[in-house]
Amino acid sequence: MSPVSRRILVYWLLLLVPTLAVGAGALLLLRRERDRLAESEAYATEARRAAVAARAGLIVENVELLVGDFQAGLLETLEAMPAAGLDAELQAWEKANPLVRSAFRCMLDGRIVFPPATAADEEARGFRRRLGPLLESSPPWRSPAAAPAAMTQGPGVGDAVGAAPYRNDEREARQLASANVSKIQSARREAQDFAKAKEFASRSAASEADSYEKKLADAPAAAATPLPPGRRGWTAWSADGRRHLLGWIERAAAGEVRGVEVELTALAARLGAALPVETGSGEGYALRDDRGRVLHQAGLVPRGDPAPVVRLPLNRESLPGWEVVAFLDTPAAPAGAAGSGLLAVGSLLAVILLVAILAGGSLLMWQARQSEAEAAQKTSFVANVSHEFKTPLTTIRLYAELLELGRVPAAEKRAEYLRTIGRETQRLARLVGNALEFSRLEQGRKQFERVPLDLGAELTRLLDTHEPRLAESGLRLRRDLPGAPLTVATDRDACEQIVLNLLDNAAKYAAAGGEVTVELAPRPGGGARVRVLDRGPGVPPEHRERIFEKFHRVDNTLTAGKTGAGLGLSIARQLARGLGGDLRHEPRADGGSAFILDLP
Amino acid sequence: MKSSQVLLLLAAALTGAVSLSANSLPSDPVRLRVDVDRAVLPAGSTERAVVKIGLDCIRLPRREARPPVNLALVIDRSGSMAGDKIARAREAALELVRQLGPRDIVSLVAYDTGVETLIPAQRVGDGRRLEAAICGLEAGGNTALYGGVSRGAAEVRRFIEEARYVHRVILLSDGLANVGPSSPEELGRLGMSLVKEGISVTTIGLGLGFNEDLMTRLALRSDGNTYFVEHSSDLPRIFAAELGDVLNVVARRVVLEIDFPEGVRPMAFVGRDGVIRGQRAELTLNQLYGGQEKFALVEVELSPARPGEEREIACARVSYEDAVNDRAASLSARRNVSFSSSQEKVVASADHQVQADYAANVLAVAKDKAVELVDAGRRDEAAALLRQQAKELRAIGDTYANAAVSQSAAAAAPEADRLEREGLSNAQRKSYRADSTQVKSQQNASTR
Repeated sequence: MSPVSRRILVYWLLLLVPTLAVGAGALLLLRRERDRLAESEAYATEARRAAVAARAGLIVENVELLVGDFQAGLLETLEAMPAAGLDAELQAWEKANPLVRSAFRCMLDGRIVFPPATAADEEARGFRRRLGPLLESSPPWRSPAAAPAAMTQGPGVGDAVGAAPYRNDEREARQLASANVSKIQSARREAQDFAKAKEFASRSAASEADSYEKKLADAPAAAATPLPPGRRGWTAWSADGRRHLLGWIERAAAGEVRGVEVELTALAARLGAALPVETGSGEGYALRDDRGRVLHQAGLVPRGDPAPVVRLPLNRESLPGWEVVAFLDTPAAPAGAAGSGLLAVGSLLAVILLVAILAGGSLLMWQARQSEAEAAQKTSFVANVSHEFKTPLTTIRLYAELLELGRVPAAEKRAEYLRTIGRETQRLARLVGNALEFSRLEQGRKQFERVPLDLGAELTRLLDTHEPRLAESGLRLRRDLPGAPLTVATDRDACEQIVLNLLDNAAKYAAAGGEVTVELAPRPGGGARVRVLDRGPGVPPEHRERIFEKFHRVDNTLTAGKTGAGLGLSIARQLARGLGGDLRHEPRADGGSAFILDLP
Repeated sequence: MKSSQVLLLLAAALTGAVSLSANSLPSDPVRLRVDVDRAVLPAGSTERAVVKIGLDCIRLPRREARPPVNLALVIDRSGSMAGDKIARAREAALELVRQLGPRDIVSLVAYDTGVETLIPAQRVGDGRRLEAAICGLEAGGNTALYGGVSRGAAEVRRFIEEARYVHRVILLSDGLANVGPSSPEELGRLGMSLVKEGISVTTIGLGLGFNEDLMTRLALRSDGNTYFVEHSSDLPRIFAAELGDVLNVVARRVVLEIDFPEGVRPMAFVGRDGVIRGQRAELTLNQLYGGQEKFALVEVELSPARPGEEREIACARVSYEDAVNDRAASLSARRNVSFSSSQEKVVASADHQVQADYAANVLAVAKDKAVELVDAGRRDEAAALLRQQAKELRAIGDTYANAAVSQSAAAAAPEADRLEREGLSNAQRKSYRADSTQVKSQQNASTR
């Protein structure tokens, strides 16, 4: 491995290893980022669910507060009614209070005293039909468990709220809740006022009110002394497929129980105030009754029945089966989808970056190798040219010195020396000419001067001139020229130089073959073809095109000992192509090379 | 805007001048009358009679003397309202708001899947916010009718203490309630509860998709009006008619008590849902409209009497809040009947108007029953019921030569035939329900 290749390999490694390291690092970071994203997403969802659950808890609390207020108000009003003229008052109350469906009075054993069995109106008859049997068969005040349990009117939602997982979103939930506080408070105030109200009668100052006042005045003094508060409670009953909510107060002293059946539809209508006015996006809250119907809803309550985030039951005593459900619309995409998308895009970008870095590095490397090779070729060119120049110069100098010193006595010998000097000078001139030609061609300044030319005559003149030189290098020149003149329009000097370079080439490398043949023939499509054939060692197949590249020389073993600049064939081909023709090489049958020059 | 204000001022000035020139303002806006279908009854047998207690209301003397109103507009904006319907509803609501004065209170509630208070209850003022909110109404989603009415009532309730105001919820819906309670019975109970607070609910059913049972029941139970509007182009007219009623309230919280002396046993109310306890019949109305007559018909049974005897048949007493003068008021009236063995005298004493009212109400009740029978798939029974009623009415018409009664009896017979043949189409059922409700509550403004 050459030091250059080693260096290149090292550079390569220096580029490749960090690049790969960076790529791997990027991938790692991307993966971690994705995991982090997925985790934070999951955390956010979890936190929102917790917040939603907390808000649902608050709604339950509010609903129960509202219901509790209504209930307390109703029972208080019931309690405060004087015993005298109670029936009339119950009737008036029933008529005036929007939350009262029926007011009733019955014996401790559950027998209904009011409304009387003789009552003709539909409401009273309906009440007796609905609830009479239930009251008589199992009066709620008789069941020992009822009273203490029923006494609890406050919210029993502590557990439910506590069970909801609180995170740091509790604060947020509280804030949202506080936005509703004023609404709830006003609703509660209204509830308290309302449950006690008998306003239809009192406000209208109609006959009802008059008679009511009168009855109050007529009431015996005993009614004014308050009875000790009796047991009270609430019972939810199902009758004819519907839920009925009954409140009752036991007046043991009077041996009877006063009660009220709540207008449940109206009560439910007012519970809408407990739901938040504004909800977060994707959140939904619904108040559902025991039949699973949504009474009120806020926010986004999905159709169908998807699993809610939380489902909190209301106070079992007053509204059994009622519940507050909360929904959270989580994004449809599975968790982490955003993360994996990031990973894909990130990886793609990283790969593109890596490929770009490596491709850029490779291009630079290739460019560097190219420049290096060219520099090496130029160095060897300069060395070769200098060497080429040196050989004829040495010869010229040697013979010139001999002649100068007058050591050559024979005139014949002197003449020979002078001829040699002349020949070497010509060779030097050819070399310089080649170098100049090359420089002109390289710079693109070569101008061709095309004139009609009899190629046969021209070749004959050229070969005549150079035959002796060829013979000296041991080559016998054979000619195969047509008898008739073959005229083409071409540049004389360029043609001459091409053929000369080919002959020099043969003299240099194929001298051992002993012969060189020059053929001229017309080409079928017009123009002419010149072939220069030798019996030299030939050109290895892999070099057949490259021999025409500048500075190229077939490797050392073949051309060892032979000097040359590697310019001759390159110049010849460039000239041939400049003339509109071509120069190529073919192996010659039975060994040797054939150089074929086509001229248009 | 400017010119319309000027016009309004001019109109006010004119009416003021007229009322001044009239100068004898009746102190009571309501007149109470007790009528009997026949002033002379056959002697010697147990007789049935129809007592009509009429409440005649004078027209409001001046437009500006009207009590202010506290209205909640509850508008369905579910998906089915999309297009022309919601556009017409907007138009109608805008027109309604323009008719109101600055003192009036209006809230706007829209419901689809959820309920949204677009404008909480507030005085109209210049009405700009309201108009903007109404113009922003768009349709989409489900129908949370119950929630909408609840919210509307809650908005009205904010100013419920303002005793001078006429409290009302106007509900517009074109679809079946599919969120929340949706049975006619439950909505009826809600109406009953609301009227105890003095809130009436007027229901406007639009198109053929709504539940007419629910809508009529809610209106009837809360003493509001009910309308069946088949084409949305009628909406502005209906809103205007409804507002005409609301702006004409002359009495509120009307309690009608009728005491019957011994020997006169109240049997039942015809048409209206009153309460009969022993010898007393009671009826509550949330309001009376100026220029209209509201009445209650009670069927009574009288014990046999001697010829020539004269007896009191009923003593009525009405107490109400006079909305014009803003004070409590009450009126009473009584009515005697005499007995005769002469059939001619009995026939001659007939009160044709009472008989006609009776006939209309009997038919309205029969139609309601017929609808139920058709629903149960018993068309033949429904037709038989109508024919039976028609026959009875025809007999009355013939006996007393009462053309009006004969006419309604005659109209019922072909309807019975059609009912038997074709049953009830959706639109027919809706108009049956609406007509029947309008007759029973003597609703003045109707679709027709």
